[in-house]
Amino acid sequence: MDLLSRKVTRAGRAIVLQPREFKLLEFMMRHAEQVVTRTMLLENVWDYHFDPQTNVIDVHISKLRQKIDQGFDRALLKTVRSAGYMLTEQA
Amino acid sequence: VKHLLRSVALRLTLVYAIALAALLIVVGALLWFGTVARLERDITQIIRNQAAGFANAYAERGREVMAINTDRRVGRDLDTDEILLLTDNQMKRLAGNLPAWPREVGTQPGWYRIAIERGGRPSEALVDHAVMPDGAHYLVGRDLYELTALRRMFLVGVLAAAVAVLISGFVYGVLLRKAVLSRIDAIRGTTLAIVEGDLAERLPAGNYSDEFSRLTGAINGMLERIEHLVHGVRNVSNAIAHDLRTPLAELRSRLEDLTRTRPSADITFSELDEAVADIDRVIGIFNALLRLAEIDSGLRRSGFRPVDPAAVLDDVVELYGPSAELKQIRLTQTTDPHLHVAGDPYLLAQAVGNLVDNAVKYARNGGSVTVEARHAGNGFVDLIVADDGPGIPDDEKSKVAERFYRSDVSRGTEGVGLGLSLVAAVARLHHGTFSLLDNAPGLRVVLRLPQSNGTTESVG
Repeated sequence: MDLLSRKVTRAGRAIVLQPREFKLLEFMMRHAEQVVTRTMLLENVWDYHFDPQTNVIDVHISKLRQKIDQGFDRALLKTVRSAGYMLTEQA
Repeated sequence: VKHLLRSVALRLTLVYAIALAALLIVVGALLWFGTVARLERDITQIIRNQAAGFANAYAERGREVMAINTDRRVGRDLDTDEILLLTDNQMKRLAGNLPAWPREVGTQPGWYRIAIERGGRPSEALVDHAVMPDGAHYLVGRDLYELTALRRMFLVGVLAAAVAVLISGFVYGVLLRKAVLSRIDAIRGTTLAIVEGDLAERLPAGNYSDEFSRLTGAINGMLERIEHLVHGVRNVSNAIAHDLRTPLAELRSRLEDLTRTRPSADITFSELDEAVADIDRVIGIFNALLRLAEIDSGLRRSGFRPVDPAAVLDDVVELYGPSAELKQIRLTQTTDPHLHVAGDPYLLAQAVGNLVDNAVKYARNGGSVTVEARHAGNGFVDLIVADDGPGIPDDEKSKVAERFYRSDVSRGTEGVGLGLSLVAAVARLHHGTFSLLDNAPGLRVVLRLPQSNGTTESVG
């Protein structure tokens, strides 16, 4: 991830992200190998200080996941059940 | 009397009556000096003139002639009030209309008041006692019968009027107290019934729009509000109990199954995850309730700042965009330029977010949801979220903002029935209103907020 040119590549392949998706991925990468809760994402990525009733975050994550993991053997963005998400190198 | 005096009405009336009586006496005294006292002065002057005249005549004509003149004068009855008496040196009667020398009059000349009896009626007279050069005594005076009667009438009149004022004041005060007391007793009785727990009780509204009616009106309004609040609290606690029991019961049976069946570790952990999710739902309900309580307390008003509604809508639309996309719902946004409100941007975002959330949740697949911010005129800004979903039946519109209310349409979808309660609370906090309109088809929710002058920069 190049923060200045705001470009993302995985294994040499360029990935086109919306600004919010970029921010989401940046936050996940800064907290790589850590479990990130939905509330953390809402507060840090969207500056939204409460729990929405539905799974809006999940939908954003799944869109991001499509863009960064599709076509690769290994999924980097994992769902941690009943906790949140984790960006990890481990299987 | 002591307990009677505790009545405000009676006390006020009595004070008023006493003041009136005092005023009456002052007016009476003024009238007295204007009439009775003046009349007395006039009589004195007449007697003095007459006495001087007699003294001159006596000096000219002598004792015998004056005795004859005096009797003649008395006999002619020219002036019935006139008192004349001529005696010799030993105060022995020579002529006049008094039978003998009065006891009250001494040997010295001067003014005397004497008791007399004329025609069988007792009276009082004012006489001037003069001693003639030859030693004879002459009394000239006036019967004060008229004056005494006038004086008595005056005193009796003024005092009777004062007493009448006091008595009628007292009676009127007692009656007033009774009238006031009956109204107050009615209020007190109802209040006691309410204290006993009958919140549906209302004060009797008076026939007139007097002070009491205004008071009872205000109290009834207060009771209305209290009943509504108590009713709300009762409903909410019922709903909380009900809504918490469901996930807790599920949780319990889930854990019970685990201990009974003891499945493999994989299944156990996946069940534990579900259990955590159940608990999260319960915590979510509590969070939502605490948040509502916080908003309703009005504390967050201190954190109000200028907000650009367009920016709020941008964020919400951005957040819910993918969710709408997932259901192939068109989520569109239109905003008027130069909108400003004073408020809490996070709460406004949450309110609009809840509305969009509902709209996306209930809109049919492939439908559309529009989000608008526009000038509403009269210094208001409308935030509108409209969908073409099933809408809300008119008879349910008033209820959906109540805590934990869930429409039949919403059964089977997730949520606990606090979303619109929060929107309503946010509207109240911002001194705005919140209304549910028919979008034909669908629902159109209007959050109307007072516009601020917007001199400061907006906060995104």
